[in-house]
Amino acid sequence: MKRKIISRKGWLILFILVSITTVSEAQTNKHTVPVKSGVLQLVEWTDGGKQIPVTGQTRIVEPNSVLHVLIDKDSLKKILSGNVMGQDVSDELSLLNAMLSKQAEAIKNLNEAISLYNANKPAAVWQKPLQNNQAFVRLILHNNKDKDARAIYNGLAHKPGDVIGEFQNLFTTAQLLIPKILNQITVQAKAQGVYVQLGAWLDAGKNSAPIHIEGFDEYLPQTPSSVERFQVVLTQDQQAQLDSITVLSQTANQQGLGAAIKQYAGNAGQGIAQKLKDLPAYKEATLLVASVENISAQDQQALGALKATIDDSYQAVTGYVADIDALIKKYSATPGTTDAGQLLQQVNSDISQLITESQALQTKLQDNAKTIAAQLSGLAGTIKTQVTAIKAGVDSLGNAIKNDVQNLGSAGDLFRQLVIGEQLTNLSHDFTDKVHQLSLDNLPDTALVDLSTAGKRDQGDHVIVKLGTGKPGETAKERFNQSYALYFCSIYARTAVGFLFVNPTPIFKRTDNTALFRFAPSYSILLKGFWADPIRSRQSLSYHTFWDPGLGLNFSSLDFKGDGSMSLGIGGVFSLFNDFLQLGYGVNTFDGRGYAFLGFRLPIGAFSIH
Amino acid sequence: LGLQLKIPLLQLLNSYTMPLNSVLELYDQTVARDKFDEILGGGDKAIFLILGNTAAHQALAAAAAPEAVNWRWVVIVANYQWLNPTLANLKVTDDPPIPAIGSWFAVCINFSTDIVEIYTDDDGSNIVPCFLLASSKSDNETEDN
Repeated sequence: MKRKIISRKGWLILFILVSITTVSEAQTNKHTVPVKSGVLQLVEWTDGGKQIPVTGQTRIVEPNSVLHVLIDKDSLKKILSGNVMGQDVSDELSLLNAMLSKQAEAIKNLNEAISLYNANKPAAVWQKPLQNNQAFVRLILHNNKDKDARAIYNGLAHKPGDVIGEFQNLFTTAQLLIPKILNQITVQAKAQGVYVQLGAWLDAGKNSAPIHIEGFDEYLPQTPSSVERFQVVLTQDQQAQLDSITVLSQTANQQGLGAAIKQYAGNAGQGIAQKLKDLPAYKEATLLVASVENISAQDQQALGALKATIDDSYQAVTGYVADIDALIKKYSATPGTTDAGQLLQQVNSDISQLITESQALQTKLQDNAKTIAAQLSGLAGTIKTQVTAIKAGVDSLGNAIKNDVQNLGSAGDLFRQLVIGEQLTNLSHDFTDKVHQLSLDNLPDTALVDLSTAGKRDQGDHVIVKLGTGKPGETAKERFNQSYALYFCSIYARTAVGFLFVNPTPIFKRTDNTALFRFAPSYSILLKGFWADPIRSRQSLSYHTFWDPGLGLNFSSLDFKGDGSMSLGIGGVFSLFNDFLQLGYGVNTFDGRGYAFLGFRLPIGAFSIH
Repeated sequence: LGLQLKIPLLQLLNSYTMPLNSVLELYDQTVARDKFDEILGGGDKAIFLILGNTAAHQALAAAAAPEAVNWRWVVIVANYQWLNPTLANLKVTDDPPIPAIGSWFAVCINFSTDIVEIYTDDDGSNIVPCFLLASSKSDNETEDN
C-alpha cells in the first residue's frame, strides 16, 4: 500500500496555518498600506549604524532606529500644481515629465525615420516613427500657453541642419522649463497661503503619542530610551505568568489537567470584575454619589427647584453604580466550574446591557447638567460651591461615560478587551497646533524621526509618518501616510514563559499506571531574528507577528514523580508562533533522565492567573 | 551606455548622409503653381514656404536653406497670389486669429498639406520650429497610419 506522507489531518492543519498567516498578513497590511506618493523618501539608520532604504514594500523598522526623511519638494509641488496653478499647469508638468522619460525612445524614432527615408522607403513607412514624436514637438513648440517653452527652445544653440540636435533641444527645453514652472508654483503657493505639515506618531499599545521632529513641531523630545535587544531576564509580567503557570502545573500534576483548566476559567471571571472596577465612568459615578451625599439636610432645603434635578441625577447614578457593583460581585464570584463558553456569552450580554444603560445615563446627565447650569445663578455661598462641584461631577461623569462607550464601541469589543486581552485602539494622528505650518519655500529638505526619543515602546508597536498640505479655510489633505511596525530585524534575544507537557518516559516503555505527560512551568531564552537580508526582513510582517521562530535554551521545574519534589530541567528549545508553541529536548539535572517536551505559552491577556 | 554611444554615432553618420535640398525658387508665374502643386501632391515634405521677393524674404530663405535636409524643403515664391487658389484651399491648423493672407510672410506646411503655422515677419527663429512641427501628419490623419 502506498504510504501517505501527510495525512488528511496534516493537510487540514497546514491549511489552517496558511490561512491564519494570510489573514494575519492581510490584517496587519490594512494598517500599513502605503500611500502611493513620492513626496517622502525614508532611510532607516539602525542603532548598529546600517542605512537601509525604506521602500514601498517596507512594513517594519527597528525600534531603536532613526528615520531619515527626505522631502521631495519637486514631487510635492507637482502634486500641488493643480490646486495652486490650475489643471492646465498640472497636466503640462505631467506631460513634460513623461516626455523626459521617453527621450531615448524618441531619438531612436527620429534616427529610424531618417534611415528609412534615406533608404527610399515609402513615405508612410518613414513618417510613422516621426508621428510618434509629434506630441513632444507640439508640447514644447505649440501647446505651451505662455510661449515660455518656445522662447527657451529658440535660445538654445544648434548646428544648422542637425536634425537630431534640434530635436534633442526639445528635451533640454523640457528640463529647463520644469524648474521654472515649479518655481512659479512655489511663489503662487506662498501667495495663497499653502502650507505643509510633517508629523510622526508612536502607537504604543492603545496609546498614540506624537514624536518630535526638529524644525517641524514644538513637541518636546522624550527622554532617550532604547528597546533592549538582548533580553535574557524575565519581565515582571513574565514572572507573574511563571508563578501562575507553576500553580497551574501543580494542580495539573496532582488533580489532572481538567481541574487546572476549570480553575483558569474561574480566574477569568476575576479578571472581568477587575476590569469593571477600573471603568472610568464607575469611578466618576462613585465620586459623584459621595459628593451629593455630602450635602447636608439644611443645604438641601436651600437647593430649591434644583433639588428635584439633583435627586434625579443622584438616583440615576446610584442605580448605575449599583448595577456595576452587581456585575463586579457576579464575576468576582464566578465559580471555577463555569464553562468558558457560557462565561463568554454572559459577558457579552451583560456588557451590551451596560453600554445601553451607560448611554441612557449620559443623555439624562446632559439634560440635568443644563438645568443645573441654568439655575446656578440663583444660589449663593457654600451651597453654590457644592452644586458647582456637583455640576462639574455630572459633566465629568458624562464625559467618562461617553469615552467609555466610545472606547468600548460595542459589547463585542469590550468582550475582546476583557477576555482575549486585545487592546482597543482609538488612535489619533491629527496635526495639532503644535505642528508648524510651513510654506514651500521654508520647507526643510530633510527631517529626522528619532525613535529613541519617541517614548516607551516595544516590539509590535507602530510608528506613523504623515505629511499633509493645506490652504487657509480648507481641510488639509494627506499626501503621505505610512505606518511601520517596530520589530528587530537582526539577531535579538527574548525570554518566554511556557506551560510544558513533559514526556519523561518513552511511550513504548510506559507502564499502565504512569501518566503520559507531566506538566511543568518553564522559561526559555530564545534567539530570534534570523535574517540574512535586511530589506526582506523589513517586508514580511507575518515572520514577526505569526511565525516568529526562536531557538534557545529552556529551563523547567520538573516534578517527574508527581510528589511535589522539584528538580531542574535544562534543554534545547525551538519556538514558533510568538512562542505559543515550544518544542525541545531536555535533561533532568537531578537524575539525568532525558525528556522530550511540548510547551505552550498560555493566552494570558488582560488578566492573569492567580 | 549602448544607447548613449549609439546616438552620437548615428548623428555623425547622419551629418554625412543628409544632403541639402536646394531651395526651390518659384520666380516664374507660369510654372509656380504647377510646381507647387506637384510638391504638395507627394504628401512627403515638410515645407517652409516664403511668400515674397524682398531682401528680407531672400535673407530668410538663405537662413532656412541649411535646414532643408531630408524631407524638409524651403520654397520661395515671388508673389503669393501666384499660388492662389491652392494656398486658399489649404487647411490652417494654427491657433486663431488667422491673419489675412496678404500679411503672410511665410508659412509652414506639414505632410498632410495643412498650414500648421503662419508667420507675418522675417523672424528666423521660426525656421527650425516650423520644420519640427511640419514633420508629421495632422492629428485627424494619424488614424490612417
